[in-house]
Amino acid sequence: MTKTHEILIIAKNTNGIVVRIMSLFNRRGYFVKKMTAGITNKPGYARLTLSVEGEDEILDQIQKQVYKIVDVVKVKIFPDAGVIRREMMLIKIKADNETRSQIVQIADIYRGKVLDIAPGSLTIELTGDVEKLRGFVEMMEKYGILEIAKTGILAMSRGEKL
Amino acid sequence: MEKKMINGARILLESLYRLGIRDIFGYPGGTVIPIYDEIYKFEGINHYFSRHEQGAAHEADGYARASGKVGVCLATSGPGATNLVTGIMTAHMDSTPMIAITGQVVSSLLGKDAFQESDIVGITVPITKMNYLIQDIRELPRVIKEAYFIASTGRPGPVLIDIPKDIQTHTITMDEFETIFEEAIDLEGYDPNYHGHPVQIKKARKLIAEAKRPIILAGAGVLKSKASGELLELAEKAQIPVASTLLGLGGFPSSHPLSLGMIGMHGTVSANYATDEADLIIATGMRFDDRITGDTSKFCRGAKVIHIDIDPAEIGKNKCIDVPIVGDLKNVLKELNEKVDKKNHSQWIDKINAWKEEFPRVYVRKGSDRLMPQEVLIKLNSIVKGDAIVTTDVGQHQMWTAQFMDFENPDSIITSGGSGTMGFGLPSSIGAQIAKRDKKVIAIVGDGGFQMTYQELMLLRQYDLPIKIVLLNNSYLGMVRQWQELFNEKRYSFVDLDYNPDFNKIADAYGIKNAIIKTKEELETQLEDLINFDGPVLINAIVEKEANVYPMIPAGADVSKMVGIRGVL
Repeated sequence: MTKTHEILIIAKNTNGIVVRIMSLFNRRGYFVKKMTAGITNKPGYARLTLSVEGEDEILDQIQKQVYKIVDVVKVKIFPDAGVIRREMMLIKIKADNETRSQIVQIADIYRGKVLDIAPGSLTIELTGDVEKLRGFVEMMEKYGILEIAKTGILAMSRGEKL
Repeated sequence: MEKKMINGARILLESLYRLGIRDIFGYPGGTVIPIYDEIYKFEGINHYFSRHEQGAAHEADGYARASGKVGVCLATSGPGATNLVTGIMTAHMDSTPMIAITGQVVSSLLGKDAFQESDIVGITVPITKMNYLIQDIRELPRVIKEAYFIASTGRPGPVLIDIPKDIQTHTITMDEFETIFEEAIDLEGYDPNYHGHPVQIKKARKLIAEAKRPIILAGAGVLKSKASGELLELAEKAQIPVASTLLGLGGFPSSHPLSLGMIGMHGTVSANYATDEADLIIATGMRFDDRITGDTSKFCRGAKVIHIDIDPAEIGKNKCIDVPIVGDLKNVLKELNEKVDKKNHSQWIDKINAWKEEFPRVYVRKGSDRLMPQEVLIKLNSIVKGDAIVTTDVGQHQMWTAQFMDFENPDSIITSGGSGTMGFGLPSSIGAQIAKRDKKVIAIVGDGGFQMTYQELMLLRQYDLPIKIVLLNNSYLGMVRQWQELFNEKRYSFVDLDYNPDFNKIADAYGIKNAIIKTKEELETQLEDLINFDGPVLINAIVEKEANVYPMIPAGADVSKMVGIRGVL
């Protein structure tokens, strides 16, 4: 069955490591939908979370192929349960005197934060899981979405487990 | 007192030397002039002057495959580096331990499209096991040690080191170099597994004990882990027939009664039938390449599969596996052998022997009285009797070599399997001969591939390499022509090489003894003397134009679609 999986990759933060990883996904035909990359608590290491679409059977292959990259230290596929997944979005919506307060009210319900108000628009920051962000975007469609920027998904296991 | 200094170029040579490198293949150019200046002065490393960087890469590859050592090639930036690419890819596909060193423009010009700048690290990411762009002279000793370690351990492969010119001329003190060189390498994410898991080995033993119709598929891993002795022991103890992949040839003696020869698209009938009917496949150091399996869903469908490989990513990549064992083949086979039951599969072996008898390696003469390429190889085989290193190009002659020559010893055939690189035969034979000066080295090439790298002929004279080149000259790109004959209703599109150069004049131009063989009589009377001549020889064997390689399982098909099982359609 095709579904989206989050893959955690911890690698030495060497020159071109992201290129190395992305090139591997490309040439093996694995489609990367989203990617986040950043540093971790351990100096010199990068933590990447990739959202990959594909058959269940190819996951094992992906994991092993990624691990073959010399600077990759850890590869893990997050299970469905027991994992916190978060994504951040900046969204700019058309707003006038009539709609502005409605939008702010809805944003409040979603625990969004208004970052910028202009005569014709509102820019809101929203953090949550994929469904929450999607829900908010759907609510905003009728007001007119001017621009969306998303970070991609960050994921972490619950509890002490790494 | 003034401190003794060492520059980057010297660090490169000194480090390679300390790692045991004695021979490198290269071609000078602007960004490696400092390295060549040190080569000029450095004693202990022989530099062989290739005539094209692709040649240098294949020479390093042939050297590595013949000796088991790490092959090293060297080229300048830009076109020099990109000319190595085909050779690096070839080494990558066939897991050859190799270090490719390239010069790079000075650091301050990086990324500015400087003269002869190319992002060779970016270009070679998918075809190297690891690659490096050096940014500080102090990284050099560690990187060279790492490169050597990565190239030669686990599943071997090529590693590229790109060194900007300014770093070659920077200096540090000798003391600092010594300190850095002594530091142990630390590769946290790289830890090949050499010992098979005991539980898996136990499971494998059980399957072997239960099997009625087992077969071993022996791949290049047998040679790379030097496991041919252990393989022989397993085969004989448990009475299991052995079929080899193209790159596994030589890992099990061709003349052994349990040998089935090559498996796959142009493999023997007995090897392919036996694989199809087997109830247990023991895959040793092979990767279920599509030229072996054809239709994977139908490949050995009735069999349980034990897959032993050092690369965990090969397990389950192309074929579902019942018992995977990740580890060094030699270690795993040793442990398997310790407690493997003696078996007697006489019924199964009788059946296989009946196939062998019914479908021997044959060829059928075409209407003309031209020499058949196969008969040239049969004669050659009777002369060298398995005691030679044979290299090949890619195409029909490569398959006929695999079919009609006997390979009794490991590392006796060097051929481009995974990448199928035309032009590989001559340069790889040069590397092999330099690695094994006392061995007879024979390059079997076609008239197509030979023209891709024949500039390397000069090295035969320059370095006194008594290589025998057997050119099977059919004035066609024969393998493509065969596919066009079989699958495109003989629309021979751009495969005709009627416009070929005079190969004997080419040999003359390079000062190499040569001969034409075009009749059976010439073959019988001249070939032996030519092969035993004390010096390089080019033998231009004019052979039947439209001979085909049979048997053949068409690409993507299964064994039931095998054609030409009696040497003809």
